[in-house]
Amino acid sequence: MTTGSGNRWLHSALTVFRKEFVDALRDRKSLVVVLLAAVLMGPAMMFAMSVLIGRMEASNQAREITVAGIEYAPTLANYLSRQSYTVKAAPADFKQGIAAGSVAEAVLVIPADFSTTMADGRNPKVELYFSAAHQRSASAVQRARQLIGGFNREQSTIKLAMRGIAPAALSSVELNVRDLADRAARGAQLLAFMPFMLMMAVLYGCLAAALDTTAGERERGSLEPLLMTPVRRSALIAGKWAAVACVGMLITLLAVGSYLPARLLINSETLRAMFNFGPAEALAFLYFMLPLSAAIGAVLMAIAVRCRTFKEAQANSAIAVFFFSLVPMVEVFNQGAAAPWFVVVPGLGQISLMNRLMRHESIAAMEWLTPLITSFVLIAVAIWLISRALHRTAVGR
Amino acid sequence: MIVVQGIAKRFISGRARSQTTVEAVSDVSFVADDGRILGLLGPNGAGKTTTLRMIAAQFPPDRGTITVDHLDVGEQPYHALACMGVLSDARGLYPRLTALENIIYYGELHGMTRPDAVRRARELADILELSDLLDRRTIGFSQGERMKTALARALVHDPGNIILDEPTNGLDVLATRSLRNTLRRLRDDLGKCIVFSTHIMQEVERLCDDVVIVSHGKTVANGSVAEISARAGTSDFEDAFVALAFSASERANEQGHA
Repeated sequence: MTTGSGNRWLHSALTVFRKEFVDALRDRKSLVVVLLAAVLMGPAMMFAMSVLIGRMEASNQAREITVAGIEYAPTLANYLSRQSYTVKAAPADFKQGIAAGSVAEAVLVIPADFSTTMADGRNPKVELYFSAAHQRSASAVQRARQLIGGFNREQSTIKLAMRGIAPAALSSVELNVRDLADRAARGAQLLAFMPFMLMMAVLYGCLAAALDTTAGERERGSLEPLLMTPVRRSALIAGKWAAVACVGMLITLLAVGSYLPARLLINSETLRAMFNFGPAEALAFLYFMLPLSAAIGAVLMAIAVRCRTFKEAQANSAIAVFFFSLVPMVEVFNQGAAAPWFVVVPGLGQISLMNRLMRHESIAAMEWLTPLITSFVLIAVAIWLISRALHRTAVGR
Repeated sequence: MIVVQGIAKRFISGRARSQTTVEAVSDVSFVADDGRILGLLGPNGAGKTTTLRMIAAQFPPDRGTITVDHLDVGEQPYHALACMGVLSDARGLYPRLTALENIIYYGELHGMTRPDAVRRARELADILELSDLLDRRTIGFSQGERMKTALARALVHDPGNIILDEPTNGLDVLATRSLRNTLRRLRDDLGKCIVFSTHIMQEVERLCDDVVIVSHGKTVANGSVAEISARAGTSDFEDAFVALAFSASERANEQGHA
């Protein structure tokens, strides 16, 4: 190739790129949908979660227990107040209230014969009402169990002591529970949806542009006139792909960037401390996601270029969209450490590494490099498929 | 100048047993000179569009050669395309771009600088009475407005050879007349070589210096309107066309229906 024709190639590719990029940015409707659905959704979800967690924290900290019939059990009332718990009386219709989620998360019910049964040396039966449909009830139930357990231990210790037996006889093994997950790892568990939301943003960001420059061009009847200009097909493909990749990368940039101020939205102290996402993490995310968005753009184009209509292309690209949006699920379902092969799978590798980054886990140099390589391989294969499809095109038939 | 010599093209679709072969073009030849308008006349499905697509290097003929300004289209497709302005059967525009942007995009694809492309687009807009529309996005353009924009797009690089596939399709009377005037000016003032396909008799009679009648993928007659009428032994061009383009059985069928 001489310098002249090289310049000519570049001029053509740049012309195509400029036109396609402007065209894609003028597709306001698609862009607004992507911005709302994918870019703003992440921070909005994060805000909602922080409100939820904040509420959970508040009820955990409030040492409160709702009891019906506390007046029948003065010993228990005495124990609870020594544990610095406030006893709240349950309303009469608490059963409906629990089901509807309007009363407390769990209600302890004391029978009227509590004291007399105990005095007879038998075990009185208390009941704990809750609704498993409400997630927050779990902690209230646990608290009630712990309190009753504590009360039981105290009572039996007293009885044993009165019979001259050491309280240690009650428990032969002592269990100490220690959680080794650090705060960042716990936060990452909660925030696993974040890389997933990023993936959606990238996918839908590329989709409209990728389909429009290929199947859309054919459907409008503008592909044939385009192929009747003396533009090398390689320049045409390069320009189109560059434009789609740029749109995808722009959306990625916005999506990643939108999580930076999201930190300010979090009103839960714990979550804010756990939310390990600053400028350094944002840069690492971009390093993983920018090449991937260029690759996803190329893959979508390779699928759509074979289709005659936009609709057909949408149906066919659903496979790729499905793959890339479900791939993060592997990471979610796979409890425990990430398998070594995760890194090699486009999409999964990026998601897995981003999650590990949020958990403060170390990442080897090769693991940093692998997703970049898989993205480039994907781009190369897709571009090859696109050019094969375009070279074979007998547009009219 | 465009020279087409004995081209043939067959399309094979499907695989194995369900395979079907369509012989779209079997033997078409003609010479289109500079400064003249040549009409490719033929019934629907005669192979006109396929012939024009092969001239525009969309796929190579199975047999025969095509040269444009002495450049072999098969050997130097990109150089040949640079000497052609093609208004193809598909004439889609980009709805989110303005008419001007649509036109200069093609100018730049032909290697023009942006200022040159803009200047040329405005000139063409004057000729085609398109100036008022230039800065509007093409979404919502009427058929005639689309056609004019597509024509300006095809002519933006000032090609010596102009190829038009059924250019008056969907145009009203006034738009058709204005297109005819434009083509005459391009021929007379600028000496362009113009080839267009049509199945409309009047268009050929009013406009063409040379006529090539294509039927069932073959050139069946060649010459001026008067020459072709004389050869068919009739003074009416439509009768001559029917006599040359359709087989005896097809004509019998038509009379049966009438």
